[in-house]
Amino acid sequence: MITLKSAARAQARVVWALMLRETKTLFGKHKLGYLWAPINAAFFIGIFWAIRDFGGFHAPHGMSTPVFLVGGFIPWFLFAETVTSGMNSVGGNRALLAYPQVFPLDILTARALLQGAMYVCVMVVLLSIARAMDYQVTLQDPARILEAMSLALLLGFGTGAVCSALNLMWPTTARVVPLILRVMFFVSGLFFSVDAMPHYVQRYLFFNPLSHLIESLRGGLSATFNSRFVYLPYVIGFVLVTLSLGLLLERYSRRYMEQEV
Amino acid sequence: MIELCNLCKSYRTKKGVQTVLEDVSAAFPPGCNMGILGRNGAGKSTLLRLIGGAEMPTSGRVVRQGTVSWPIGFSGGFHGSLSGRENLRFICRIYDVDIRKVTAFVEEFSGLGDYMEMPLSTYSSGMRAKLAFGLSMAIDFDYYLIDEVTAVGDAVFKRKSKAEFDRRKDRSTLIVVSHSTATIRQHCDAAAVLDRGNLIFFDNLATAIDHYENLNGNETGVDKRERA
Repeated sequence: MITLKSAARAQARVVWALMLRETKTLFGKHKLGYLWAPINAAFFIGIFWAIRDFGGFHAPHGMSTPVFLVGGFIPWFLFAETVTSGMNSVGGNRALLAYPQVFPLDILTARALLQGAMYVCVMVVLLSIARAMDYQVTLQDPARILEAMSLALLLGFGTGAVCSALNLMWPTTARVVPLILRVMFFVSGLFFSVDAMPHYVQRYLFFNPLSHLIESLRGGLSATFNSRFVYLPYVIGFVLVTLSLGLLLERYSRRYMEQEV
Repeated sequence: MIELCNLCKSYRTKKGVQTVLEDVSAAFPPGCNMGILGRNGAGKSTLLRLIGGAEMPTSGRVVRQGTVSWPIGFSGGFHGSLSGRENLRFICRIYDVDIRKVTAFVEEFSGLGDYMEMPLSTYSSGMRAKLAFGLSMAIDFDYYLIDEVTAVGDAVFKRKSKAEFDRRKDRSTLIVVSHSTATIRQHCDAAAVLDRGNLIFFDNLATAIDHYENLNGNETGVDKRERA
């Protein structure tokens, strides 16, 4: 007899098994394995740090540059990687769906959880390095950090689910999404503070949910950084819409998946 | 017992809706090895996927009592960069079975030896099939689904698997789809014929095979006439 409890248990088991499998396959073929995640993030942060230093810009609100950049790039990577890996999750693992207990959503969930765990670790590593280099690192508001990271993950998960379904219906999606992400890279406030932007720019950046999360996370990482720009109800609404749309499209796109079998 | 209740399956293609199964109802009681004969493209594999739960029916339902295997020899769920042992572990986890017991059984049954530690991408298709087959034997399903196309392996291994099926005849049941009457004769106690979306059952194996051969005979007859 299948009850809600036994079904939830089975699903949790499948998601866990998928996560363990993905940990092996995600970085398995590279020599340094998991180290590539912090190396990749550190590389980008390093570049923009150098650019800022040469340009003579200081991080706003008295934040140190590396911590300011960690606050921008970590949620960005968390979001973008969750979207990208989510988008390819079903297409790349179609064979797994032959096992009746594995559903597309399980693969998506496993990948998102893995990205979440990974970038929390990367953040800890990078902040520890900054600390060791004598930069001021304060976990001013841990609840706020957690909130921003969770929302970034949920946003990535919902968007990933939408993209994954669209990808099954129109394979062109896989080409278009990286372009959109590239644009978002420049307009989410990764290497600048939206709060310091002129008002007419802020008006447009307001619609980008990620820019709120990044500003909010920076607020959690610094005693002095206080952005008046952040409006979380908008982000939460956006997350709920993408999640619902993602789940809806996941159902609808199943017929496209079967067609090609 | 596996029951198919008013099962329909159709796919949307560019040419329009293509119906593969049309209102199929059937029962597969435990202990009776059932063969399903059908020509290429008759929908045999689709039917097997529906029975196994890999695909959802367009309408109707499949009621399963007891566990059902994936199509024997199916190794698509294996990941090329993981070793044989790691792949086993994943399947054990999703089926909630004892990893150590299963691994020991598969090692012994498949005779893969050191290859258990090698990535799957280094396996030949026969070795993959051995691993997948050993695994499905280790999990001890109540029903085993066999799609002739995916069941591969060398002659020795085929004999070994036939012997293993014979040995556990009293606790597991086979459902075999094939276009070859020889395969069905070898494994099954009863047979049905899948033709144009309908599944026709027969009282005994011989009449089913007769009907199927007639079907093929007529078809080639039509072809000949059309060509002339």
